[in-house]
Amino acid sequence: MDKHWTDSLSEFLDGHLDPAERREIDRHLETCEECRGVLEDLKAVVVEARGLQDREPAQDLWPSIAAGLVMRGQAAGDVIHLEEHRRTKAPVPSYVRVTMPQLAAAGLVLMMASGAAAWMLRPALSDTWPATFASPSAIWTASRGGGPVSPYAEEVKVLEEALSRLGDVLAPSTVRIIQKNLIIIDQAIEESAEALRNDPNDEFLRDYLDWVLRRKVEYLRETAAIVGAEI
Amino acid sequence: MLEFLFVASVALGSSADTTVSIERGQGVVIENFSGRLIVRAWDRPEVRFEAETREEANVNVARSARELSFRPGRRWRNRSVTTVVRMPEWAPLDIRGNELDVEVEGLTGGLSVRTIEGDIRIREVSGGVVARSVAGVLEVEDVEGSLELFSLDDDVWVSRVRGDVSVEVGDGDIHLRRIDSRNVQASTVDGEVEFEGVIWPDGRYELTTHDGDITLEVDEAVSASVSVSTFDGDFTTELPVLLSGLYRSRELRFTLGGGEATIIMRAFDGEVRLVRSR
Repeated sequence: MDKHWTDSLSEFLDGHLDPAERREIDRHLETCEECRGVLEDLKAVVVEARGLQDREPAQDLWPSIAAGLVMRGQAAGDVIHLEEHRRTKAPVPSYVRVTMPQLAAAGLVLMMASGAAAWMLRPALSDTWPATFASPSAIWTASRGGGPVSPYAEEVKVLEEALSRLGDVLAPSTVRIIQKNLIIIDQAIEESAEALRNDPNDEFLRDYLDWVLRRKVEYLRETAAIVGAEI
Repeated sequence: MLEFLFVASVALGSSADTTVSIERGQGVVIENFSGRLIVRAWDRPEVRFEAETREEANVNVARSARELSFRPGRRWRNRSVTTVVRMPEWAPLDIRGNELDVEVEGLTGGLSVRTIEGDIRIREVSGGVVARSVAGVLEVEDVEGSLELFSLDDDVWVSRVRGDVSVEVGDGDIHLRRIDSRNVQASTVDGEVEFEGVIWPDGRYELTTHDGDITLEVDEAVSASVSVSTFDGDFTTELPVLLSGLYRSRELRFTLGGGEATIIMRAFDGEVRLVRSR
């Protein structure tokens, strides 16, 4: 099987190819039984991965996970076992693409290989989460209109008021730019909060929401300093 | 205490031209001009302020023990003018403008530029650079020393920098090329982030975007521990990686080489790419 086709099948499955590339893959699949088989295998693990439930691990599963972890490589039919790689120091193939479904699928393989009940490591809650939020669910309760949306809400309010007082002094184009960017950052906050509402135990999303909330404060601070807003 | 030297009110046909002496230990402040400001270094202990305008223009110059400051005179205010400033390379420079495009080249004493609307171009500067703009492209080349950039609404292009790099953008891309730094932080809310440069074993490199792709281009011999997080995107790598953990549901950790440096890449909605240096 040609490396070119191997690389393209994942993108083909994810819908990341342009129409011309899709047609090329379609034509190739008509004549290549091996590629059709690989594509079916990929589809199968993605479907199975979607049915996975996150569960808390009973122990550190990584050693057994790593023993079974496989990665799809660049060369034809390459499958690299990491523990074997560690022993032999053999180079891993030079191109690897991991989509989220494949990451989940990798977890599926690991679970099957180790016989364990979970595929994901879940460390203790992050210390960086703002103490003002009692729990992640407070985020989406708050962002639905009950209580402070962000631990930085007070500072955001002060900065926004300081900028709004300059509304008549700044050029209209500057005001529009600031307003546009506030909308962009607020959309980013809402997208992050929405993702967390849908997956309230996800630590990445919790840390990320805090990061994007802090970005808004930073942008307001910087902008206020540039335009000379008095705070 | 500021001593107001004079109000230079000069009309010389096509330019207003003012030259004042400066001593070591003094910095230069250029404030409230609009239009285009070009700053170049020369080897005289003087600052020459030359405005290209057909109309009479005046500039207020004030001197204190620490600084020489230039501000537009009454007849200059709100006028968009191209101004060329020549000053000693060793003098620190602080520029604050409203609608002002800025070009600075050849200074070694440190530079701070702040414009509300306007592009900022900085070349061959050392001693620390801070540049901030609400709306304007920031282009920085050949800088030694720390670099701190902020653009709320435009792209940032940085190349050939030795020193700590911090870049924050609201709506725009960040391009970091040929960077030699032990501490890089770059984040944008709506745009791509691209880094190419040296990864020091004791370095920390943090690239984040909310909506956009991240591309990290590094040498094959790199030694780093890498964390990649994406909520809705893919991760691709051209380099051999050694997975050390699937830490959390959306974070992938792996090592490159000996795993010495720290690399963190986060894209909420975008692809993270690790590519081999060309």
